[in-house]
Amino acid sequence: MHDVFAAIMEQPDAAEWSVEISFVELYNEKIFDLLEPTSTDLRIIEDAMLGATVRDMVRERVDSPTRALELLAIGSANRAVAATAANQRSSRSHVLFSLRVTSAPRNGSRTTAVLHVVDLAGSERVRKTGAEGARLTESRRINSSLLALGNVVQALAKASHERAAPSHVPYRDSKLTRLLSSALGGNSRTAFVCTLSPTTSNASESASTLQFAARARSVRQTASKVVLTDETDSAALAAAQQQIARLRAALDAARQDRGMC
Amino acid sequence: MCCTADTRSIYTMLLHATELQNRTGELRTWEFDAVFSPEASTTDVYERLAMPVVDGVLDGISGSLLAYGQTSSGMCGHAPCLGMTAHAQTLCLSAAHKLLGLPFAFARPHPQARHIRSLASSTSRG
Repeated sequence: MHDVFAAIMEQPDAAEWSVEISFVELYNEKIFDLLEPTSTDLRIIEDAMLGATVRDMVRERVDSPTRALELLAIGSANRAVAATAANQRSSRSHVLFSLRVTSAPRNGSRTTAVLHVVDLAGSERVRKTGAEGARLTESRRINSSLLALGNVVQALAKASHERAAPSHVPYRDSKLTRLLSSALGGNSRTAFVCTLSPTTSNASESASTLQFAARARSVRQTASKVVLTDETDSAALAAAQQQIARLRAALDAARQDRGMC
Repeated sequence: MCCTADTRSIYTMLLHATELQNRTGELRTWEFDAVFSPEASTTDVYERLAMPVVDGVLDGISGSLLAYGQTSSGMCGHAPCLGMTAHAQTLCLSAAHKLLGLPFAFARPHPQARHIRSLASSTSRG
């Protein structure tokens, strides 16, 4: 392992890497930070650079895979503690493990990218599992966020099929889809692993899983590099100001048409 | 805990399920970028599914790996979704290792889990 590190160090164009890890769980439409177990119901904020992200979530910079795996273990342990308190919560929540990688090659521009690894809660039929009380509420929330995910994927797939920009994608129907909005319909490469149960008693769920997977596959996105420069912020600001000017002009024109001015 | 029946015969049974047939009784078909059998190793899944995404991240293109499936699609009777969770975690680990430039070791996947990979955005300009 040390040899590999040494080999990286000796590379002439060795890039400077920074890796930041965050680990959150979505349970009953509430966000918990698995790296900060005392957190409750964190909020989502829109960040110009990062897209939808979780406010006040821990982002720990790691310098070794050992530490990265430690964080994964710590987060998983925090999740397991909650699981005993909340009845198999671990399989009934969505988990988002994110690595933000920023690289700065010695001669070249800085790039930044995020890898989200998402373990979605299992979909299930309430009727079949006989869930009631708190578990029934959980099931409904799990299924409603998975339904929202399905709807988002369907809207994007439809737009891809028609080769048009999606008119309305219901990202805001759940926290899950808001957090995944950039992954699903934005500047990102996305892969789904869908698991199937081979039993006949689960055939209808298997059919809907296959249907979902086929739909997800038909979504096309174009992903491109995010290059950070000193001008990134001011360029974004200029673009936003231009957009405001355009919208103001359109609004004025519309008002004049209606004789409201 | 786990079913030890011959998986091949179970899959054949599944093909006869009415839910997977259309109204005229023909088998419904879907297309995917890859279909993994229960025997597929995590390395197989990683190389076909995660590697293009992880390579993109190293190159400045954001990416996501999502595990989706019904409860207990690891088919483990009482244990929930072991196959899916184990896979997602292994993908995490291997991606973390890859991103830090170190070799990684894989565990065998949960034997009953079947994995279908659907690469939603294989068309990339970057």
